[in-house]
Amino acid sequence: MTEMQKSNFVQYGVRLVGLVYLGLGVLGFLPFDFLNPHHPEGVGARYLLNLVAVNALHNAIHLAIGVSGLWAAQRPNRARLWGRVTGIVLLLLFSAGLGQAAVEDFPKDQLLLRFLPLNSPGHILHLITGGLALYLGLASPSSRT
Amino acid sequence: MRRPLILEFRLLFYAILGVIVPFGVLLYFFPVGTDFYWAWSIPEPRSAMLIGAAYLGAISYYLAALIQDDWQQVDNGLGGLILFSLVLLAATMAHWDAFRPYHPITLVWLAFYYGGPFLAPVLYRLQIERIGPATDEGISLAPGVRAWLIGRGVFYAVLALVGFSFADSIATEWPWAIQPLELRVFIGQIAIVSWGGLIAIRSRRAWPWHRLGVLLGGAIGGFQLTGLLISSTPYQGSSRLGAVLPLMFGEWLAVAIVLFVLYRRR
Repeated sequence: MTEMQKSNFVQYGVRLVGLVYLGLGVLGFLPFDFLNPHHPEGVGARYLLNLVAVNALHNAIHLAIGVSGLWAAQRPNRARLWGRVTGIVLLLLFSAGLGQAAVEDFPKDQLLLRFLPLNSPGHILHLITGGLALYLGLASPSSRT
Repeated sequence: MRRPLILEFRLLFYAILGVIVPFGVLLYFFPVGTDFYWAWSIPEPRSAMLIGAAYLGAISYYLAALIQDDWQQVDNGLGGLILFSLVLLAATMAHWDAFRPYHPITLVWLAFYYGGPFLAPVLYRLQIERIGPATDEGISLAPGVRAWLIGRGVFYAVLALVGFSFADSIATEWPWAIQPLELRVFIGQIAIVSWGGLIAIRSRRAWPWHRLGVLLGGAIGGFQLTGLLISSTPYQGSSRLGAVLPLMFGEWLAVAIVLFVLYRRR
């Protein structure tokens, strides 16, 4: 039996979210305009895959989430804890980002706390992955019926 | 033995229906108001209907999935859902500047197409853990039918790849004035029909595996053909692709009708 088959769906989900964030973190550091074009008209951020506003710090956070997720996915309890912590952090980030956007009359992109570029594709990414991570963190171990 | 869907899948399908019903009704039946209600402005009503037809067609798929409550019939379609989401996400990446960033439909659009690739694999895994893998039961596809499905799957996969890559050039040959964004979004429909064929390559050959995918393709084809007939936008039948679209949509519909007639009573 492979490691993948032995792990449960919580570990599988945490591994998936971790892999995606790791991929986004790595891609975000590639300084190619066709991949991550620079958008000087707003807060001057690069748009990861022409979608998510990022800077070096934002990319580093994506990498940290990815690496920690892959590490946590190795053990069921660790994966569940990671899901709860990461889920809450990402959902708080979504709420704060959307709240700030509302206060600033929904600009194309924004700087959270003056250092973290965000935009609507980023907010929704945080919402979806945060919601999934929290679900994984709170899900009870499944048993085959 | 029929294996039911887990609650999480049923909730996901209800949520998807909650999105595709308004999307389909708005785009297909009110295609001139996109300036107000849609995530980006679609100048030609026929283009809005082209996109809306997919959502209307998908309603039949998700309703049938919920009513049938049979994992074997849903299993194959999840790859199509992920593929469709990824194609539309890629179209969004390519044309983000055209979107209204905080329009409610844009936010739902993003959630919908981020969500598919994340949720479908995780719930698939949960379904297998709780209920077990789907069984390969039911009447087998005839070798000729299987070959046809695989052949059209490969054909539409190539078409989708070429269409997405060269959308700007293809838009100039389209039977009406279409923007590359709408064309790339439409390519997602070709990709999903392609998926419905390519899965026949797998060893599972029973008709129930393919039933809902064929239904989806047929329903989209039917709505597309109707849309071609009723839209107010002029259709340039003499353009290079003028004859291709009705033929393609007709094939989608015909395959569904033929297969459902063929396997209905078996």
